[in-house]
Amino acid sequence: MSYLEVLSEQHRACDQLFAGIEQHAYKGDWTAAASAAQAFVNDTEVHFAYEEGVLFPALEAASPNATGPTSVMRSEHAQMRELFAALLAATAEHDTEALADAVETLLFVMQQHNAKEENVLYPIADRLLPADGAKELDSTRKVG
Amino acid sequence: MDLSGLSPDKAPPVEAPLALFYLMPLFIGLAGMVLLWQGDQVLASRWAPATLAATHFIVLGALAPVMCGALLQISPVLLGAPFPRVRLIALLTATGLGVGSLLIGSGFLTGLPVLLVAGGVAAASGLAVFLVAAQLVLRGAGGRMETRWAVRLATAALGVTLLLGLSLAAARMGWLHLPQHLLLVDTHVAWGLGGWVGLLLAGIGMEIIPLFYIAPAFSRWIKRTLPIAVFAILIGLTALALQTSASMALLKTLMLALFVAHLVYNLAALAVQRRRQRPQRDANLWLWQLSHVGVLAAFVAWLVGYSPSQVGVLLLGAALSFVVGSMLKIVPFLSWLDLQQRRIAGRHVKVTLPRLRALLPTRTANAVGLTLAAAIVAVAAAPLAPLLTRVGGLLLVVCAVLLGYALASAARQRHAVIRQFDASGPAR
Repeated sequence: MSYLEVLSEQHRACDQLFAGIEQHAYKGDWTAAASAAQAFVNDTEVHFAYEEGVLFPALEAASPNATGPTSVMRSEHAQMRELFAALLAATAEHDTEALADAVETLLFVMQQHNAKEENVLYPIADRLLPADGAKELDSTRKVG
Repeated sequence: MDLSGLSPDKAPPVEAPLALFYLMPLFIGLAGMVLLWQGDQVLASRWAPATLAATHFIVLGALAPVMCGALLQISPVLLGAPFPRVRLIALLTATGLGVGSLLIGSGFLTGLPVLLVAGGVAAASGLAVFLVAAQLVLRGAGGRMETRWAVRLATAALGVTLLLGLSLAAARMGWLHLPQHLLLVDTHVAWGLGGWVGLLLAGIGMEIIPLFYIAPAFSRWIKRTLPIAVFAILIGLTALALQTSASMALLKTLMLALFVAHLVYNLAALAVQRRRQRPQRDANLWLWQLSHVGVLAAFVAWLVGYSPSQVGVLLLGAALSFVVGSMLKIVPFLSWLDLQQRRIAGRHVKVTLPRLRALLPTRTANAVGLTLAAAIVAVAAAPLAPLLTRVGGLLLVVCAVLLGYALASAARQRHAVIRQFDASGPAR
């Protein structure tokens, strides 16, 4: 498995959790919506932690040009974290309007961020970094 | 491809796509006015001056700028390759297309070929700037191979459309003799609608539909085959049209193949949207669905022998639905993203940003979508009652006013927040 495959798979898994929030709220099941929101935030934070703690530093060490792009990715993570708070608050308060806003904004930020990673950053990580890293990440996921 | 495309200084400023997006309401409105003014004359023949004026207002004035603007915006995200000097390119393309479309439309309406040529030169200059920049960008592009090819072939199709259009304008001036004039008009339309518009909307659509609605990805087979198949069919059509005695049966077969290729994408898009994970249906989604159904309706109309102008109305309606739907989704997000980036850069943490749905309220988006859909249905049904052309024209004018209001309102709110940033002092 490559970085592109493993990390894109994580994006898709987070997307599924994200969609679950709206599906539950749409049916009026706010308890399920709140727990889906929490599960989505938790899994996304695990993904961010790997990128910020392992992948981005490795890329920065491998290429002097990587610092600008990884700082953009970190800043987009920060933007998403702000929106996570709005998402959790909206599900906790059963606020349909606030949830619709948080979901719509977060979806856009998240998808354009994921597209940049999947189309540019991960293919370059596969080119610059040793394949062991991706294999290790994949095996951790399978064990977890 | 390298990482530089993701650098902070390479993100396109929001003003670049917006400069192009702002042309859309103006030219939808002008097309609506032509329908309102000329009524059923517009659809009486595809050669009627009013038909040609309205078509160019829609294709060159409304659709082309938004598609170029969307490409400026989406290129760093999907291809990892930002356009260089993006503000200048946006300004030159918008000016060329705006002035060019006005002159071409006026040229058809007044019957003055010199306006057509002047308009052709203006539009071609604007598009040439965009095309040269796009080719430079594509040279260093990364991303998925199939997206790269769809964009590459769509922009090449735009180049061919432009060359054929200029040749037709030159022939009107008597500067050029085109023996197969009528066939070349068909070829110009096929490259414009089937190549540039169809391929770009499909290429981008196959990326953004799954992203916006958390839907399954399109099959790789369609993504890879569609652009190449469409381009090959268009080359075949052109080669045939340039012959002195083109076989009509073969031409019709190639047109059928072109329709079928686009039909495959549009049916796949409907299927992907049906399998979306997000439950709600907003104006963007139903306008996209209307667009896919519109292509299907155009195919049926063509098969049963409806007039080319009726088939054209359905195809233009389909393209407009997809592009207007996308704009209703993208404009509030781009405005919000611009403010968010300024907020972070300036550390204006105390300034609250407007909500996405305040920047473009759901009610306004629905009103824009409904008036557009009603206008398309009215004009498409005009053979049943001639008055419907004028009704459709009026609805298009209303749609243009609502869209213009939506864009202006989003811009006004964005500028109000920027003023708040300025008032809250410089970055610490």
